[in-house]
Amino acid sequence: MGAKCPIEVNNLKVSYKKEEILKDMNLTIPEKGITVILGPSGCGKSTLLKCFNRIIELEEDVKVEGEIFVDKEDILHPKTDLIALRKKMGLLLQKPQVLPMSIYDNVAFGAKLHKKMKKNELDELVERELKKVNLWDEVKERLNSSAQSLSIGQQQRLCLARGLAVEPEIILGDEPTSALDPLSAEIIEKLFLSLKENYTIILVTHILRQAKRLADYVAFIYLGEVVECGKKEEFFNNPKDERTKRYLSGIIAG
Amino acid sequence: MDDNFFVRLKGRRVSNRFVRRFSYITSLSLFFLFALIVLMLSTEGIPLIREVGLKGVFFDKEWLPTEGKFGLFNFIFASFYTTLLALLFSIPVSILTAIYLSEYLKKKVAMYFKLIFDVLSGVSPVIYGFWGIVVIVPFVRKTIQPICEKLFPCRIFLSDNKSGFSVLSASIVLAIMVSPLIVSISEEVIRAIPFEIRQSTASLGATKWEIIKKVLLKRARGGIFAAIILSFSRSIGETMAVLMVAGCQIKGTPISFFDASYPLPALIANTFGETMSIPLYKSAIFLASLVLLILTLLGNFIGWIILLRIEEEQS
Amino acid sequence: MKKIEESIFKFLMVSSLVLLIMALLSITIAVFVKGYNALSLKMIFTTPKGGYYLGKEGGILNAILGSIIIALSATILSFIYSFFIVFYINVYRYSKSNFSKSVRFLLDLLWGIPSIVYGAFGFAIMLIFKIPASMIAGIITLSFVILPIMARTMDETLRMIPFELKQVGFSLGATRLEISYKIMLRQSLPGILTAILLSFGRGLGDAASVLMTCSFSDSLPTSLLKPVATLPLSVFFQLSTPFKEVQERGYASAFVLTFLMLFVSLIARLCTKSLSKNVVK
Ligand SMILES: Nc1ncnc2c1ncn2[C@@H]1O[C@H](COP(=O)(O)OP(=O)(O)OP(=O)(O)O)[C@@H](O)[C@H]1O
Ligand SMILES: [Mg+2]
Repeated sequence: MGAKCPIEVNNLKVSYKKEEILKDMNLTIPEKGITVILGPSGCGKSTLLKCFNRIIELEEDVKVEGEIFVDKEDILHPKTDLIALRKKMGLLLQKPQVLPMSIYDNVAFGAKLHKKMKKNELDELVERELKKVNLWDEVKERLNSSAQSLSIGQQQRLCLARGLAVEPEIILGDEPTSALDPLSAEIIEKLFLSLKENYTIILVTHILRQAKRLADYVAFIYLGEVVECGKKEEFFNNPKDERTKRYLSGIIAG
Repeated sequence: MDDNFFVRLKGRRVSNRFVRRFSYITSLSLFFLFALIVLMLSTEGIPLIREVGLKGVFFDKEWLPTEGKFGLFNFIFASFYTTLLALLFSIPVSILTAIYLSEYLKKKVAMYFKLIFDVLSGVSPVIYGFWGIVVIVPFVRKTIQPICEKLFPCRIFLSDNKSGFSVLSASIVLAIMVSPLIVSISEEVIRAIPFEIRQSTASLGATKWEIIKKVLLKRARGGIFAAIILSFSRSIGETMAVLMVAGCQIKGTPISFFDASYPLPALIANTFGETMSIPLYKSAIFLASLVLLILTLLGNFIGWIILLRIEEEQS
Repeated sequence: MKKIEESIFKFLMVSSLVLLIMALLSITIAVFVKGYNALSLKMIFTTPKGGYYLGKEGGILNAILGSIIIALSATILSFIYSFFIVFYINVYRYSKSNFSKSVRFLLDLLWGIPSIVYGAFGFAIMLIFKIPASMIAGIITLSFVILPIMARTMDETLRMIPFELKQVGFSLGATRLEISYKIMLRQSLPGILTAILLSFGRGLGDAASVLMTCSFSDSLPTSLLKPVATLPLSVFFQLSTPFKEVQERGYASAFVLTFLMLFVSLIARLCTKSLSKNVVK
């Protein structure tokens, strides 16, 4: 792989209580572009994603071992500045989760935490981020109404704008289209394609066709292990591992 | 990331840490408060036991503070008598109501009834006492007592107390006060029984009533028991309403329904003011409070443990 | 045979429900009928006159003001106290952690302690520090009585908040403090308001604790260090006197007290709706 590697996962192990969910995982994710993490349900994709910004630690009885290097720094090290780390990673959940406030405040929320901003700066920021996700024209008339009033698809775009507003370098998406109708899903997909020039995007999905449409790189996870990873063409046209072949041909259910 | 971010972050961290510590201490202080309540009542109450002995306090029937006799037996007995009689009235009515609300009414309609119970059970105990004085006491005096005396002339229906302020009046008022609690907990427990269980029994050809009798009540009995225990605690600690209608005369052990009753909380409320000057008298009042505390804590402890178990089983 | 049994029980169930509802209705009716006759503007806007405690003239303004001041202050105190506890066990600690569970259990136990016992506790403290029966003693004791109600009701609403909402806060780089007051607080605002009003209502109606700590007074509440009148005690004392005029004040107090409590609980339900504008479902 030619690209620089901003994320390198070494021997990552995660367990809930005594149950091991991720077993000795090794993975490199290149800079910029979209890396799709593929795998059947329950294989640990969300768990892996939550390790990147260490949201995983919010849950009780989790144990995380191993190393994850981001920009040559081990983010699993206890001394890691969690807030700086999380600012660097924008997370998009499966079900859009808006904050209990107005549309405007939703977008401004993260940015306001990290930086003192004047009213006009904030206005600019909100407009800019909403434009990035193609939501501005739909909501500019009602920025002060509750974010709850938006449609699900709009909410997901709002969540993306909210994440982008804190100026992350890496975007993590956990099946961000699975709760949406096909049309909204398509809009989100297009957004990802337009964002991949400037951000490193890690996208979890179990929809093969979506992976084919979006991916630059693919990692296939099965039962808590990385089975195969590589460039998209190679992965889809010339899979090496037996399990990958079976998954691609639909024998292992998605 | 610019310096501005890190400078700001430092401030955010400091205030976060401060609030964390402060809240931690606040939460811990709750345990301290609890310990303090137990401790205070014990240190004030134990001297009497030391002086008069356990037997003298709990089994002596004589309450003559000026002569140094502090037998709490009659008060404790009256507390149990009134409370158990109240539960005797309340339990069947409440459980039948709970079954009706959960099994025969739509959730929405049941909600309205529960709302009424909810609002009215929040009304001041003094109001229940007021109701007792203007409605129940006259009713007992004018109707129930004469009828009972005629029909069943035996010890528990005969009394020379003709005022209507009696064990029975207090029990009726208490029964109405605690019923909403039993209804709402039992209703929730019964409603929470999974649909599949009803269905599988129904498919065996059981009628609705049989399902209720054989399956639902059996499954809900833990929760209903907890509700009863909790309402026992509630009613044994109830002060004002009882104080207003129970008669509260120091006149031996109440036997008849129509005897005046003088339960522990009423004793505390009535006498605390005059006790300051006599050390043992003061101690007796705090000991009475301690007994009440232990009784209610015990009830609540058992009740909540059962309910927590049920909740955990369900999730 | 089975049919008959079911009908009998169904009849019993309906009668039980009717009986309970009738009893509760009869309480409201008794209060409103007796109270309505006793009520007048003079009753509401004057203090008792014509003699110490058993004066046959005047109204219940002392008790109305006293009750509101005491209940309000106690509500504020216990709100501040429970606020930190509740956010601590739900945001700083995992909601289901052992620590949070034990705090919750302790609050349930405290809820079950009768208010007369809190009264005795307050009284014991007053004896130690030689504080006479006074408004301040009443306020503090009452705030212990309503603390568990406030804290547990708030806790229930915070516990219902979806975990994802916290997750969003964290992933945007918020501290727990910021998550508490910028996200969780907004989301639980209706629930918190309900908790406050519920506790205020309980505070208005509680008599046993104030009986032991702030006594009663014929004059308006003016000082934290003096005894003060409250509505429940106004009902209690004045009803037990043999004088008809004094009893009238008791009836009026019962009316005002019930009215206030029902009003508060109505407001609680209305406000909850209007505050949930931004709440995420
Ligand atoms: N909080 C938790 N406690 C215990 N086990 C958990 C927890 N969260 C997840 N798991 C377990 O970890 C495993 C992996 O979960 P994960 O959510 O990472 O799967 P996934 O690949 O994202 O699946 P999906 O495609 O369904 O989202 C599952 O078997 C799940 O049961
Ligand atoms: Mg997942």
